Amino acid sequence: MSALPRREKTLQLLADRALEGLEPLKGAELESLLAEEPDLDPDALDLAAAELELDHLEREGLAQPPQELLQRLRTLPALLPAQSTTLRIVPRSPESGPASSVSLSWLTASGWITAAALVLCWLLFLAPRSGPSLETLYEQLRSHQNTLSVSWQDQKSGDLVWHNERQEGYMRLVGLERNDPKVSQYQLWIFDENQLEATPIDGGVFDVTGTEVIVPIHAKLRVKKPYLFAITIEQPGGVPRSAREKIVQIAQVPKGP
Amino acid sequence: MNPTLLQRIAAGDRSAMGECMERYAALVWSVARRVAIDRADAEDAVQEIFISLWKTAHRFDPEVASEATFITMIARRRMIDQNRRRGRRKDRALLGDVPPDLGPIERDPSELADDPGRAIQALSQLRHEQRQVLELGIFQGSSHSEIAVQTGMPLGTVKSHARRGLIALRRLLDGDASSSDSAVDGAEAAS
Repeated sequence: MSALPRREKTLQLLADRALEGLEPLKGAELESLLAEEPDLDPDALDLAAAELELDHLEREGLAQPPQELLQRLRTLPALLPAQSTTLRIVPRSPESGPASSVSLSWLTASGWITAAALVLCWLLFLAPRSGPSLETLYEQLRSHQNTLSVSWQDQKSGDLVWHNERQEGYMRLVGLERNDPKVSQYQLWIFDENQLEATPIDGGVFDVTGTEVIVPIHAKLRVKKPYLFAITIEQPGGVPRSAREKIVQIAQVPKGP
Repeated sequence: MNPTLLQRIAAGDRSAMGECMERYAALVWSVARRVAIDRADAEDAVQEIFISLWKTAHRFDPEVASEATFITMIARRRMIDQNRRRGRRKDRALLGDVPPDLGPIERDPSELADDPGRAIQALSQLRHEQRQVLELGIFQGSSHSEIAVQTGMPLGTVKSHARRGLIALRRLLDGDASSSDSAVDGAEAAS
């Protein structure tokens, strides 16, 4: 391809994108072409279209947003993840999660009764269950009618499913940094229209043990009309009320019709 | 020089995000409501646009565009992508839940474009066909196919006018007086 047709093609795709968007394949083609045209400003035509629309809107007069929207917007800054937050993709490793990291070295001194009790606890609560895996439960709930399914903010980091009638839900988390449970744990917060924004529902404390994990949601109160889910980093064991200093993920529920 | 609002946002200043919402909520709402299928859709879009702005503010260059233009670009992209993903164009008049027009608001002109009307003035210098295509595409939100039907032009011609019109508009906004309609064709290769 000669330089002229390539540039013309690039400009055509930039103009198409500015006016009506691009299909993913065309978008990928544009990215590839732009890599070969470093002197082209990829935003130049979008900005020209934007300035024209801005002039048009100003001439018509800007519309007043609804008060409810403005109120919702005021809560948004506190929910945004820190700008420095980077979701590192941790390579999979054969290490197991916190459940199997319990040290048993002190058992000798505690005697057989304690050992037996621990074994029983392990069998009851920690041993692999013969029932469906979390992946299966997540998929089953996801395919269920009336299940709410929302992506995390950047969409590449997984999603969340929640069923209101069943009060059951699961998070699929991709690329969230592993935590050391002795130092900090993740905690889910469920913002519900029936709760004050300052006191969202505690959705449970959890650890991230791999690149992609499925985590069940354990809501401490009945969830009625959730509108936003947020994950924070808190002290081990979680907190009753988060200072929201370390928000790592949010998922906003689209408003229904 | 003091950092701009978007530069403060890029640095993680949440209070700047609050100020940005106060200042530009009407602008973002105005962009969203022109495309959204109903009020709830528009409200969700506004929040998502501000979240997107939080993530993209670092790309803002005050020497290239005003804050209002940059924010309009982010809002436009979000709404265009949403329409594309849905695979359909809205017909708000049929849906009945049109985002409300609560009337224009009083604003300090300095909060918006540095030079109001500059782009519309530039538009008036383009060829008739280019102007027509850009007006339908940007002011009416029509797709290229819809413009082809509305104007009777072949689709390829619509796309060509759109490309050349936007390039000419860009050059005029950059202060290149030679980018009047007659100079566009030759200028394109050197853009």
